[in-house]
Order: sequence, then structure tokens, then C-alpha cells
Amino acid sequence: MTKAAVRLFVARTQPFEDFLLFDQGRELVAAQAFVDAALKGADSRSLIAVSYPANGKRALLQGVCNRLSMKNLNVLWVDARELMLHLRDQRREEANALGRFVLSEAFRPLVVAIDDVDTLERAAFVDDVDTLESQTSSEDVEPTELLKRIARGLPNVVVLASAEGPGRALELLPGSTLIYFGWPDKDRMSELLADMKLPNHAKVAEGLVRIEKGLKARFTTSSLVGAVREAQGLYTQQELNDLNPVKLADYLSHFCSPTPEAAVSAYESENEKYRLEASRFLKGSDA
Amino acid sequence: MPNGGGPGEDPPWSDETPKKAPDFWGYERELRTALFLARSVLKMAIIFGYPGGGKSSVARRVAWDLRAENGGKAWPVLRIRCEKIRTMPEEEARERLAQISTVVSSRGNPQIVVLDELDGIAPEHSRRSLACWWVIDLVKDLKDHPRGVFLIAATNHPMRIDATIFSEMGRLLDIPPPEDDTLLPLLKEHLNQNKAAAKAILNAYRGLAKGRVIMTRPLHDALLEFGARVVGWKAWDAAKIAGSLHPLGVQDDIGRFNKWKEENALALQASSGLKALAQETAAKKAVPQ
Repeated sequence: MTKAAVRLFVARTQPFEDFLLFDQGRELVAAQAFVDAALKGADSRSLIAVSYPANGKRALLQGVCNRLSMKNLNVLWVDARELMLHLRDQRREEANALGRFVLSEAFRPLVVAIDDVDTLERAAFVDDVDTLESQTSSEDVEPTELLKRIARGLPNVVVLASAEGPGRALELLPGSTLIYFGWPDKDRMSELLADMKLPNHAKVAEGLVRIEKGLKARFTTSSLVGAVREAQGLYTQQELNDLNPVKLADYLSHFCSPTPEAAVSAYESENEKYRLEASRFLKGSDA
Repeated sequence: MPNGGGPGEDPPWSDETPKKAPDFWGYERELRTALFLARSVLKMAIIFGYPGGGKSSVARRVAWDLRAENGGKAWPVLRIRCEKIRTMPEEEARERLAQISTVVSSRGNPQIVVLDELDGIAPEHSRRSLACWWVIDLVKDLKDHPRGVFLIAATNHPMRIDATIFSEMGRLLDIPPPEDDTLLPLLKEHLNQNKAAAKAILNAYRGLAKGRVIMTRPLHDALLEFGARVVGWKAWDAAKIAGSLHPLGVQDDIGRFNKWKEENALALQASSGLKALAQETAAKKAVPQ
């Protein structure tokens, strides 16, 4: 609970130790291609990964950051929630490190990854916005203002962000490209289980989808990952290999929070236009 | 340990580490499931139930039952009243949350952290309170770095809690309204273990409470109030005693209870599966290899 407010991942530093080994293949490739194009001067300077809570947007951001770090690119990781807590907590020096770092020419090209970017916007909109602004001295770089400057085009700086609510995130980073994650379907579940070295992954995924239908609910990516860790904690690899896939799916399902179908539909219809836009981007990347 | 409140203040958290075996009646299946989760890799549970069902006592009982895994001492239990923090002025809430973080960090592991009334910090109009962000951070941190903290979210309304917390915590465990096998031991304890008397009083009591839900905590409180008289009566009269306990021990009408069940049908279904799994796992471990 004492993580630093601003974690810097510059060239040759350690990758994310807790990086989830779930390769969201298509999206990962598309995001990397986006960064390459942006650094070569493409119009769009920021990419926002959007999903319902716990569906894998942070993992995508971390995955891209790790790969960019390996290519010796400067990457700055910002947890927007912590940043806001620090701003509120008078620890402005740490918070302002973000602004100084991004504006510094010395570290460019630079990729700024901001987890939960809509938090920043949301926090700036509500309750203590007056306090926040009154505390900002002329030397400070207020984070929301900084993001707007980047979005307008700071040379050699690209933003990767994640958000639950694309509407708010787009107000902050206008003109951003979107990547949208729905709830994992059978193929994505299978891919996830395979990445986590679970045997019979395709059949287990089939079983999970059947259970979802029975419950009239969907399982989120993150809860599925937690469930696999539980299975690996209880069973040896040999036991997992010997286990009937239907039984294994049943086991995993007990550790997955079920999102009711009504909540799934509400989120998807609320974000329909963003979903379509994101889908066009992915199709373009495939081409 | 600091309790977070000045003189006369109602503190937002409390140390509930049991010093002796805590009161606990029935709920063996739920206790077994909670112990299973406390020993699991991610050590997280959303414990829910109809008000007055004894959710908090599960945490204390788990802490006591797992003392062998903590050098013979009960696991420390910290109960945080989320709703109370949410209603504080932001400045004070920030200070309290920082204090709680310090307490949790300084306690060492294993330990149990109970986030009580978690539905009380659900976002309003998509806006999350500071307390809600704090809990999300705690959950994500414990998920990324499991370290022997058994995190329990206690709530009456699991489907109303913040979507991120709900998705990240995963496991749902309900504490159902008590059946006879829960209420009888409770009554027996107040009746010098007289099983026949306990049964007779319970039957009379069920008759009086017809159409209403009997919950453990209110009945326990009623028994404490009338307990001395109950035990002291030699020529006991079941109907009279049940009449004395009623209506303190009954909780709510069946209509409201059914509505609650309907709202939480999905969570109840998930919880039922988890209990079966815990039982199966315990049976598997009991089989000699």
C-alpha cells in the first residue's frame, strides 16, 4: 500500500513484476503499432483502452509498456488514482514530478501510460476542485491541463490510457483512438487459460461459457485470472492435467464474480458508439 | 492500538481480535467455506446476508479457529466501518484512511481485515468517494501481492457494491437466515443445555413469529435480556418464554426478505456453489493418500 505515486519506467528498467501473462494478442499488436505510428508523426497522439472494471485494460497497458521498455523507449507509468490522492494529500512535489518529466525534452521520445485516466478527470470535476486549483502554484503543472497539452500535440510524446468511462476520458484526451474490451468470450477465455498454462483450455473455456449461460451472467477477465491462481494453488500440475475439464470449469467458476446480464447490457449499450469506433480501429490495424 | 477516535467519538474502526472462543451457533457450512477461503491463495471474500445474520461473527470465529496457523494466537481482526468513513469530511477521511493503512501494515501477517457495510461506499452518480478508491487500491494491492491478509467485505447488498471491488474480490459467501440447527444451540446455551426445553420454546416462538424472519443476533440479544429469567424458571412455560422473547427476536416480514432474496438471487446461487466446493475440497483433503 506504499507504492510510489509516480513510477518511472525508463529505458532498461525492470518490467512490471506483476504483469499478467495474458497476451491480448490483437489489441497488443494494434497498440504497439499505434505507438510506432504516433512517434512517426501520425495525427492521433493518444490511445485509450476502455472496459468494464476488471476486464483487462491495465494488463494491456502494462503489456505494451513492457514491450516498449524492452525496445529502450522511455515509458512513464502513472496511476491516476494515486496521483489524485497525492494531490489531495499535499504531496504536490511527487505529483509535479509527472509534469516536469513529461515536459522535459531530455527524455523524449516518451510514452506516458495513465491507468484509470477518467479518475483524474472525475476527481477534478467533483468536490474539491476549488481546493485543488487554489493550491496549484504557477510553477505546478496541473495534471488535467498537462494531458490536454499532450493531446493537442507535444512532440514525441504519446499517451496510452485506460478508462472505465470513455466519455470522460475523451473530454480529457480529445481525438484519442479507442480500444474496447468486452467480457471475455470463449476464444479469449481459452487464450487466457492457455497463457496461464492450464490444461484442456479450450474445453474448460467451453464449460465456463456454459456456466455463464446458466447463471445469466458473465465473468470478468480479472476474476478469471484470480480463479486460475486458486486452482494452481490447490492442485499440482499433474492433478490439473488429470482433472475433467468440465469439473475444472466448475471449480474456476466459483471464484469468478458474476456480472449480471443486465449490467453487461447496460454498460455495452451505454458505450455502443465507442465500441463501434474501437472495432473500426482494430479492423484497420488488422488490414 | 489507536482506535481512530478521540474521547467520546465513535471510531471508524475497531480491533475485534477474539481473546477467547467467540460465540457462534450453527453455520458450520459457512464457517467451513470461510476457513477454506482464508487458506486460499487470494484470501478474499464478500460475505453477505440479511441484516442481523451474524456476518461479523464469522470473521471472529475464523480468526479463532485458525490460531494454530499463527503460533497459537487468534489472527488479529480489524473491522473498518466504511459507511462511517464515507460520511466524514474529506480531510478527516483522508487522515483516517492513512491511519488505517498504517495499522494494517504494522500488524504483520496473517490478519483479517473486515470492510463492514461495504455497500455504503458504492459510487453515487458514477462518482467514487475517497473511501471507495482506498478500498479499490487495497484490493488491487492484495491481489497483485498476496501476503496473508484475509480481506472480508461484509454487506447486506452484494450486488450494490462497487463494480471494480465486486469483480476483483470474486468469492461470494452468504450467511443464510438461521434454521433450527442454528437456533437450537443458541437456545440451549441459555437453558442449561436442556434440549427438550429449547425445542419447545423454538416451536412456540416460530408460531408467534409466523410470517416473519428470525435472525440470530436479535434472538441472541433477546435471550440475553430475558436469559436470567429463562434459566431461573424451573417450571418453565414454553409459550410464556417465547412470548417474552417476542417480538425482540424476530427481524422482519417475509415479504421484505423475499424481495431481498430476489435482488440477490445471482449472488446466492454463486455462494451456494462455493459452499459445495469448500465441502468437496475438505472431503478430498480428508481422504488419506
